[in-house]
Amino acid sequence: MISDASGGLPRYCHPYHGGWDVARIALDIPESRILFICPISCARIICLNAIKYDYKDRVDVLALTEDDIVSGAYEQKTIDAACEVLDHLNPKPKALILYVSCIDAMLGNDHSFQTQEIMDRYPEVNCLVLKMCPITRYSGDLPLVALQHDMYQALPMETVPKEKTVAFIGTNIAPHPESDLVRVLESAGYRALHIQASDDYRDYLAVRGASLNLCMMPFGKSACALLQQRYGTPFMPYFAKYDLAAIRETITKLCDTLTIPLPDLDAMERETVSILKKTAAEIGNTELIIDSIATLFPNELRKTLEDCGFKVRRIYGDSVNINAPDIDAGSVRMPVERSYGAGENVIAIGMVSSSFEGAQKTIDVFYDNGEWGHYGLRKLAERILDACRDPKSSQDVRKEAVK
Amino acid sequence: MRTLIKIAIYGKGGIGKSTTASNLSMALSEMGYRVMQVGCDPKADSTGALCGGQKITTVLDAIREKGNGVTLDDIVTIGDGNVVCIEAGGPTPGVGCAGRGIITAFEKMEQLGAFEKYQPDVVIYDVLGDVVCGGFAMPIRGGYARNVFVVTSGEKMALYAAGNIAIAVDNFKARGYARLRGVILNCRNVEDELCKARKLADDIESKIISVLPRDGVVQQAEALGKTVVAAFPESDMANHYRALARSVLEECEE
Repeated sequence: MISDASGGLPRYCHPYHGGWDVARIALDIPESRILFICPISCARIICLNAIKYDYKDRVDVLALTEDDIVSGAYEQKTIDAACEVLDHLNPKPKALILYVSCIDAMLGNDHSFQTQEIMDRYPEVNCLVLKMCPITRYSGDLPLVALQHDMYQALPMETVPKEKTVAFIGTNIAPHPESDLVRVLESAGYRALHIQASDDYRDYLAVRGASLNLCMMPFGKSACALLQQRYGTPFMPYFAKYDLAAIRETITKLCDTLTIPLPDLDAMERETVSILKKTAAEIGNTELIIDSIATLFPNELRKTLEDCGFKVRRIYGDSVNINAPDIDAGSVRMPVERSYGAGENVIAIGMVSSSFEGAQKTIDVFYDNGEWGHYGLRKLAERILDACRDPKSSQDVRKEAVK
Repeated sequence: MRTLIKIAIYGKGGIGKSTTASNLSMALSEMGYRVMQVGCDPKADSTGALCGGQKITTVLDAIREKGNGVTLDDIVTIGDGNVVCIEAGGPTPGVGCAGRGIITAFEKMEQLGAFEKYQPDVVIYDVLGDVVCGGFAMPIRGGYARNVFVVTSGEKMALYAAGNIAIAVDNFKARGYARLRGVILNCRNVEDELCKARKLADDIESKIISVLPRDGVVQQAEALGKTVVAAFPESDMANHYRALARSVLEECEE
C-alpha cells in the first residue's frame, strides 16, 4: 500500500506494521470522525482494521447498494447518514470526514454541495471528503499523496498570524521528542507541530500559522505546496537521514532557514559514531539485513552502518539495485527473489526482511519510526542490542502486536 | 479586465448544438474575445468546424496514449479565430463510462492549468443531449459554466428534450449551479415553429434569445470544414450568429 515503486503490482498494508491504512491516516486530524460510504465488502475491511487498531469508536459506515447507485439516491443518502451520525453524537466531532470509495468516482457526486449541506446543519463541524480510490493511482497524485493533500485542503481558507511553530507534513509518525529535529527546534523556542501527536483540533487549525513546514516524506509534497500557496508557508524536505554528512547538511539548512543557532554537530557525530562502533563490536559477526519498509533510505543506512563496522548482508528494496548495483539486494515484492533463509546469525531491520529471511532477531521498525538522524542511529544501536538480548521472529512480533 | 463568461450549450442530439456553439465561438472571437470551446460529447465532434473539419485529439485519447505524461499541447488545438479547442472525448462506444470520462477530462484540464494558460474571456461547453448522469452535470457546476442556453427546434422531441434540460437545471438551482439564460431556436421549418418554441420558453419560465433560420449556407460551410462566420462572413446567416453572440453576452451580463 505504501510504496510508489510497486510497478503496477498490488501492495498491501502489512497488518503487523502499525496498520497505517487510509482511515487511520485520515484520523490524524484530531477530534475527527469518519463516515465511510462504500459497498459492504469494503466496509468489512475498514471495520476489521478499526477494531484491530483501536479506532472503531471514530468510524461509521454507510453501506451502499446497487439501488442507491443507479437511482441517484446515493448523494442524498450520504447527507442523511452524516446528519444521522452527527445527531447522535454529543459532543460533536470537530471534523467529519466523508470517506468515499471508487464508486463515487464514477458517479460524479457534488462533494461541495454535500459538505455544505451538512455544515449548514452543523456549523460547528468541518465536513470534508477524502477518497479511497485506487483506480486514480496512475492518473494523478498517488492515493497517499492525494490523501495528505486533501486532509489539509479542508483547512479554513483564512490565513492566521504566523507563530513560532514548525509543522511536520506527510508522515504518520511524529519525530520523537528526543530526536535531533525536535530538540533543535525546541531549544530555539519553536513548537514542533504534528497533528498525529495531538488530540486537539486546534493543532490542526494551527498548521495555517506555522512559520515553516517540513515535508517529512515524499507523500507530503503536494500538501506542502498547497499550504505554501494558501498561507504563504515555506517548506523544505526533511526526509529521514542516516548519512552523517547528509544529517549535518539537513540540520544546517533547517537552522539557516529559521535563523536559529546550530547545535554542536561535531560532538553529536562523535557520540553517534562511538555508539555505533561499540555496538558493532558487541554483535561481532552477526549480520544485518535491512528493508525499504523499515526505512525509506535503506542504502544510506547500510553505508553508515558499514562505515562503523557492521556487516550488512542484504537489502530488500525495489529501487536498491538501481541506486547501488554493487550490493546484494532483493525485491520486497517479488516472491521469486525471496531467499527464505534459515535466518540464523542475522538481525533483520524491518518486518519484511525478517519474514523473507526467517530471521530470529527482528527489529520492528516502520518507515523510520520517526527516529532518524543522530537520535535514530543511536536508537537503532539500542534496538540491535535488544534484538540480540531478546530474539524475536517476525511471527513473534506479529503475535505481540495483535495482543 | 473582463469577467470570465462561462456558458454551457445543451439540447437534443443532432439539433445543431455544435454548429451553433462553433459559430458562436467564431462570432465572439471576431468581437475581440478570447474564446475556449470545450466539447463534452464522447463523439468529440464539437470543434470540427473550427479545425478545418478535422477531429482533434481528445483529452481521454491523450490520457490513454500518454497517461500522466499528458501536456496541454496534447489536448489543445488552436482553431479558426484563435479559438482554443478542447474535446473531452469518451470511451470506446458501447463500453466504459462516458460520464466518468467527462469528469476525468475536466479534472485533467484543471490539473494542467488550461484556463490559467489560455486565459479565455469566454468558455463555451458544448454538452451532449441531456443531463443524463453526474458526469454530464459537471459542466453546469460551480466553477464551470454559470449560464445555460438550450438549443431546440419546433420538433416535438427537441422541445421535449429542451424541457427536460430546463427541469434538470432548475433542480440544481438551490446548489448554485448554472442558470438557464434562454432558448436558442434553430429552425427546421416546422409548422408554427416559433409559437411552439415560445410556448416551451413560457413553460420553463425562460425566453427565446435568438431565432436562427434554416439556411443551406450552414451545410455548405460544414462541407468546407468551417463555420459559417469564417466561410461566408458576408452571409445573412453569419449575421444571425453575430446577433446571437451579442444576445448571449447581454444575457450573461444580466
